[in-house]
Amino acid sequence: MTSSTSTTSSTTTTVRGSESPWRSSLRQLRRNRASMAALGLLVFVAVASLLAPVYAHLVAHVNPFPANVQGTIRLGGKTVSVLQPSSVGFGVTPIGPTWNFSTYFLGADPQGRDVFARLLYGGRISLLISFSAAVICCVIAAILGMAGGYFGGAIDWVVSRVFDIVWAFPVYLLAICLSVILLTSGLNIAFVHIAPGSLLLPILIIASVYIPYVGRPVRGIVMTLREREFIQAAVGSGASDWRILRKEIWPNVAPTVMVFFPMMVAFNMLTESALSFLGVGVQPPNATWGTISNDGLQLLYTRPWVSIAPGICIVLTCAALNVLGDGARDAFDPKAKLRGGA
Amino acid sequence: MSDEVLLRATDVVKSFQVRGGKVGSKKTATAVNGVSVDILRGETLGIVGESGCGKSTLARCLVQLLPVTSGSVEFRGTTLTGLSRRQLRPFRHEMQLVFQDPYASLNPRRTVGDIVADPLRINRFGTSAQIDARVRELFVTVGLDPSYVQRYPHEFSGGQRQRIGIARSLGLNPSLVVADEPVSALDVSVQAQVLNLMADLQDELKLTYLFIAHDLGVVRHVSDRVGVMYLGQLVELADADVLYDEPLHPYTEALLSAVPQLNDGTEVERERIVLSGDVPDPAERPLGCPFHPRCAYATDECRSEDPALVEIRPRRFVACHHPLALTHNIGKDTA
Repeated sequence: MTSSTSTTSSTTTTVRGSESPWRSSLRQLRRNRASMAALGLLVFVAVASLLAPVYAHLVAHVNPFPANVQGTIRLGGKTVSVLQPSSVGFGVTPIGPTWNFSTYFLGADPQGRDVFARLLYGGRISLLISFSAAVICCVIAAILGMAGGYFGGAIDWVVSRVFDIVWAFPVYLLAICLSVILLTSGLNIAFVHIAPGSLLLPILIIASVYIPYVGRPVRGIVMTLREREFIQAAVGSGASDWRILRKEIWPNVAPTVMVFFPMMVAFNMLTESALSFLGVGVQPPNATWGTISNDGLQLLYTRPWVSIAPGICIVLTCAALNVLGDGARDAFDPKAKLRGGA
Repeated sequence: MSDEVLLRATDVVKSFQVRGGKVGSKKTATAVNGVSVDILRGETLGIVGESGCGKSTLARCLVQLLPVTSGSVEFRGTTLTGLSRRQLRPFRHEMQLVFQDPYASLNPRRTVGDIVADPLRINRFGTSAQIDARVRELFVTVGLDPSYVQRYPHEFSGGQRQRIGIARSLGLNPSLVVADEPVSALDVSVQAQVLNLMADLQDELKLTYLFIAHDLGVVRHVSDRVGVMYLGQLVELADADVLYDEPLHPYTEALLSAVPQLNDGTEVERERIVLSGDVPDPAERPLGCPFHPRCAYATDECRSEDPALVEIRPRRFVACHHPLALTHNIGKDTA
């Protein structure tokens, strides 16, 4: 059955006439229902996160950043304090979920802050970091991979060794080491100065540990493209290396980078959450799903939602990104190997 | 055809480093081993030989897509070998290559109009309107509808793609077109169309062709002169009809005997000669004549000394210690 469906789809593309490979791939992606559902979920998460200040100020009337140890809320007609003495006799237990959007929907964290509002703010940072790290990672990986694969020789040697070195470390170990060092001192190289608390640090760290994951396949593709006759035809017409890279190589590499992109966003989100959970990622006062998850750790038996809610957000977002990545793979580059290394 | 030499190759050698049997060991495979040939303005020079004999490598060396290991290539008296890519640019438009595989030679992600316009843009042919007009003109020249310029290569058949490849090569009015097995990937019916197109273009545009193929029938049909290659060496070179009627090299004889013939009595009936063994590994060339391990007439001289390509009659070159028609009766000995 598979063969007959593929024949029909190939004939329709021929009949439709001049449709660029990009457009036909996009059309294919749009027809993929699972991918479109995943995209819908991602858009929903992104919009909800972007609306975090609107929710915090207009709906819940809270400021989710400063500690709110003395705070009280109106609940069921009476005033309840946000942090109550623990029933065990020491420490405090924050109020649990009210399931009421207008006040402490998911309850409070150990410092009395609104978990749901923090979740929305955390989503902003989590998405920002994973998305921008994926952009940086894919851009650098594409440049390095194309340069190494196309020019070969010494350039390729250097690029490959850089990939090998980064690849040789376990991702999390490398990321944790870099974070521990950079978060204490900040980054000071030549005239680049990044403060220890800056969001740029986790972005750069996460981007750099994943570069080989994209760079290696790109290099491999460019090396096979290099032997194709249309490259020789371009050389034979007197084209410069720069022109060949831009006009002949890049259009053939772009689909692969496109396919890797959603996957890298998912990887980055998991790495960012892990680092933040361990305290070596995003630093207070910024919140991410990883740090919120950590906040709830001590309350796991009494107020499990503080940790579970960000966990669910991470799982759903990453699952959606993976489904979208698979759809993109099927549409843009069916031969690409996304998992199991390259 | 004139006697003016358009391109002269002298002792062209191209060798590659290949991985040897043992880990880390390297061997040198000589794909083209000392080929000297003149291409005359306006002629079609056919080059035939088995796959792996170095035809395509020779073609790429001649148009400077591959640097030669030694030897020289002159184009209209200018030595091209040793020039940098930048220095070669002014000569690129004079010699263009048509590729064997019409699927690999067109970038699948660019429109065919872009592909044909590329050499024009690179060499600053004119304004973009002039280039557009030229592209449409080229499409008409090769028998394609100019309204196809916005389409992508996957929408065309093999024959149409090869026409696009030819259009690309003609854009800058080259004087030499090197066609590397331009029809071997095509159906027989389409082969004829493309060959006729190439013949028409030659008349119209005064082109010189170097036509590479492994199909002797095709080569005879299109060529004025034919060269036979074996293991990177030119073993025989002669006018097409002369070569086909009276092969002098035992390898040429064996190749010709493999061409299917019509039993209508118009052609000399040839005894079928089946060569034993395979083409030797170019990394381990036999001593002496490269063909001697498979040659029925080989003598001790052949096993020790590599015969040079000599002009034994006017326009008739052969590299053999015992050229056939001179020492044997054609084919009879092997019967």
